[in-house]
Amino acid sequence: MSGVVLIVIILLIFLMIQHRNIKKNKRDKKWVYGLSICTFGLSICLIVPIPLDRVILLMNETVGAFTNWVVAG
Amino acid sequence: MKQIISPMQLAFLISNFMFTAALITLPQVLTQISKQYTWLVPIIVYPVILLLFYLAMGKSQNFRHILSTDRLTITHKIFNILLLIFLILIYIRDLRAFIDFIKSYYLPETPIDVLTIVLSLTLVYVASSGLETIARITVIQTVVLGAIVLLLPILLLNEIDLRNLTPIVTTGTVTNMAKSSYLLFPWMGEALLFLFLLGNISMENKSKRAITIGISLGMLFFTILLLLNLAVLGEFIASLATYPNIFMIQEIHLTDFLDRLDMVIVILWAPCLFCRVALVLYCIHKALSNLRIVQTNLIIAPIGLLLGILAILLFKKNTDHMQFSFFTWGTLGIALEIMILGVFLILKFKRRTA
Repeated sequence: MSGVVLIVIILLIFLMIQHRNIKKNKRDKKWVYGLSICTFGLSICLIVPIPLDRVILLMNETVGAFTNWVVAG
Repeated sequence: MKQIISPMQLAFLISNFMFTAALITLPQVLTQISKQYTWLVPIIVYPVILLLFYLAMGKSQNFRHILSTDRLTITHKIFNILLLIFLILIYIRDLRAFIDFIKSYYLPETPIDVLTIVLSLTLVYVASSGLETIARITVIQTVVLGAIVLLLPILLLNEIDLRNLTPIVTTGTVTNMAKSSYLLFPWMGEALLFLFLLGNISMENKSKRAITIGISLGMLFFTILLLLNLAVLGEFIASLATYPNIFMIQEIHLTDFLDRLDMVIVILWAPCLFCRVALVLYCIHKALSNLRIVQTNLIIAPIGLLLGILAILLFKKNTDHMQFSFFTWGTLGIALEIMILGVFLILKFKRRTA
């Protein structure tokens, strides 16, 4: 919970301070706001358990298993 | 404004980049595979890395021209996308390794998300300052850390037992060293990232020499640490300890009152790792701006925070992270590095024929 609160506060402060600079460039504005929303969305996953770790587990089970086979073989 | 660094700064950046992250947990898995002769593994990897750099650089001295993105071709896009994937994986892996280390040794009561956010903010601040600032901080910190690594054999003189390093040649030595080299290579090969920064060096004709010095220094520091791990702790403890280097520096006992030097050394090592991760974040931004996605460095803050959260969410347990760093990165790292090198060579060839 503390993580989400911290992220929201930091993002809000960042966007408030840099608002004028962000507004100057249309293309950058889209990316900065877009990524800020993504960051906020992902920070929700700190509370709501969404199994993002499956990505790494899958990599460990495939690529990692191959390396293990090379090293153990 | 174009960020320019000197060849000396490049040499220190490379040496810092090569050994600061690898020293956290990598010696454990290397020792598990190649026992008491693990310290010989960097000696095998060293010429290979050097050869790859020489192959990539060739006789050319105009790297600014090769990497110039005035005309963004498909090859440039592929090079930057591959580099972006490579850098994101390195950033997440290193940040999580650092957080796990701090959490298990120094701040066990602090929540992992708070640690991550605080560290991410610092990294964003350093990376936003640019390459020149990162290079200046790196030089100062690496000189001090390098001096301490060189002094370690003297500080640990009363704890070194050379019998721990014998026998050097036994049955299966060559096979085991080859296996360890397979795991060490992608970690040391991460230095290929500096091909991306070759256009930012002030005296390009001296860049080859700077790279050779940087790689040599990085390898030397890592070899000394591996050698001391084995000589002080022995193969059995070094292969069981998650953080063998911290165990090793805890063995420093200079009289009765100077016996907690480990804290001082960790305080000196932490900014070096910070510089490494901040450099990766800076390069992520550079790759994005090469792809014409963003131009300002305002994007560094949301990216830093986003990757920080991913570092928590992608690894549920510390063991998943270790499995990723030791085994998954072994093959994935090699594959990405070969692809990056290949595309760089194609870029170079295309520019020469153009």
